[in-house]
Amino acid sequence: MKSLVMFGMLAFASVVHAEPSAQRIYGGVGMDTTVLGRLGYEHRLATLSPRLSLSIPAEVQLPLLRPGGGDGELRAGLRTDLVLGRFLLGSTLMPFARITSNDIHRAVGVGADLELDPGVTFSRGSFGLELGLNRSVADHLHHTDAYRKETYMDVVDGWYEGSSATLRAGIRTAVRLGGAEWRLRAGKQSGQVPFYFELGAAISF
Amino acid sequence: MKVISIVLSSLLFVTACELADPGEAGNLVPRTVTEDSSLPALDLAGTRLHVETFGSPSNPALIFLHGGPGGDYRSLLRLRGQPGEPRLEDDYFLVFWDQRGTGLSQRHDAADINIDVYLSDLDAIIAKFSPDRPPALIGHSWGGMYATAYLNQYPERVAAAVLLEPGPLTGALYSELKSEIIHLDFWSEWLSDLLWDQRFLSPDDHARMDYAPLVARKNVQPGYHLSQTDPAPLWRLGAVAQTAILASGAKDGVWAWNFVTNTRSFSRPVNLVASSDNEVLGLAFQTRQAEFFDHPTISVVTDAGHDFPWTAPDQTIALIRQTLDQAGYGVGASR
Repeated sequence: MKSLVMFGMLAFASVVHAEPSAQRIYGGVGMDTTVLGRLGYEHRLATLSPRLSLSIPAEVQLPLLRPGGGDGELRAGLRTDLVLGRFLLGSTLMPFARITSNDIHRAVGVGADLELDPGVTFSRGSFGLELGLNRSVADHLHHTDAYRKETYMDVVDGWYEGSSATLRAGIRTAVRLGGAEWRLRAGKQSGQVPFYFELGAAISF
Repeated sequence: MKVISIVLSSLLFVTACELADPGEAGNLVPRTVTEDSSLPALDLAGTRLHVETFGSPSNPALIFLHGGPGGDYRSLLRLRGQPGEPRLEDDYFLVFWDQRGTGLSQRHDAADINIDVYLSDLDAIIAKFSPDRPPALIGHSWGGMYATAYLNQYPERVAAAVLLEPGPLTGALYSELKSEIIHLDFWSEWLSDLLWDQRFLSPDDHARMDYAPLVARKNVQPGYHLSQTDPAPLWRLGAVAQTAILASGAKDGVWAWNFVTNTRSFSRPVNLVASSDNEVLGLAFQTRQAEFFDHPTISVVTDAGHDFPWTAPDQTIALIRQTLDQAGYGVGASR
């Protein structure tokens, strides 16, 4: 809740001190629960001070094993970047909506992902840690006729308490080559697939 | 900004709603006998089992052992026979039950479930329902393995065995077939669905653990050729029991069970029934497994996959009767 208040204040401040924006598109492929592709866009709203900037990231995540199967996730939120000399501290809050469709149900889940990224910069890149919490708030489940017929006729459709929470901790590194920034992130997380990694790139303009 | 507004609005909306508990039995999966007193149940050997019987208790008993591990007996109920026609229960006392920790039976921690406990449970079932004479065991898939494990240990306590396409009777055979039994096709839709679904439901309790794997249930074993038009039903998976039984058959990470150390001491009829369409556990494999017995019969159910007790019950019943006939067991022979 404190995070939400903080981001609200920063958003208000951005209206007051809006400056010419910087934009970035980013993407990556890796493993996070499943084989995953990610494509995002980030718009810097404002530089609140020489040390602190505020951005709006939005991204889509799609499982790549079998794309087009009615599965995916959309995230959009706020990001702050605090720079103290060579040290960086990024923090991101991204509410999400995710969907799936399979043999037993169609589902929509909503929740939020909170991440802190402390790190240091080098002449051609950066290195740091990432600590994250991904928490589902609620899931809407609508069961298929097949599930009702073959397994449980009286299954209850509707909104359920969020049942998924994942803590993650890992490292991230980025190197600028050519016009792009190449990124690698990897770490451990709670859940049935206890690790994640991603190789990606970002282009700023 | 519009997207953020929509997502935030959804968050506010759902937090204002009354949300159901996914871990509460009755919501995503049915209640077990410990949660629903209207279900037919039996307290036995420190657990409460979901049990139904059909026919007269004075008739010879047929004890049915469902597949899995972790399945339930719902998919075996067509073996009662068609209403209006001669049924097995006209001549036999049929005992259907969900094994410990699965179907609608009571749930337990993994530490309370292993092969030895399962053998004790079956012993208690037999003592309860067929105290005066050895029953015939009818086991499908894992149930055939379970029946074999029991007659291997207590050959004198079984009158006949009909093993409906049993899985590997030794750990070595399982290791040989493992990649075909669970076919992990990296590009399959079911695997993608199963993994992605973990973002929605975490397996925090029995209800959710039993529910989540059902996403992949119908597609994980393509070589078994399960019916897609008349799929065998299931009340409720027993995920913990499934894992615990498989783990109890492993030693140092190697599949090490051996249910056939003493099967040659079993002198009563054994019929290994294969389905014509199963590419993994079908006729060729059951012919290999028949070598563990002294005088086995091998039969084939035609135009069916591994779920033939559901999709081809008439052929299956005829083979059960044939085996019981051969054993001279009961009055229902030679129909």
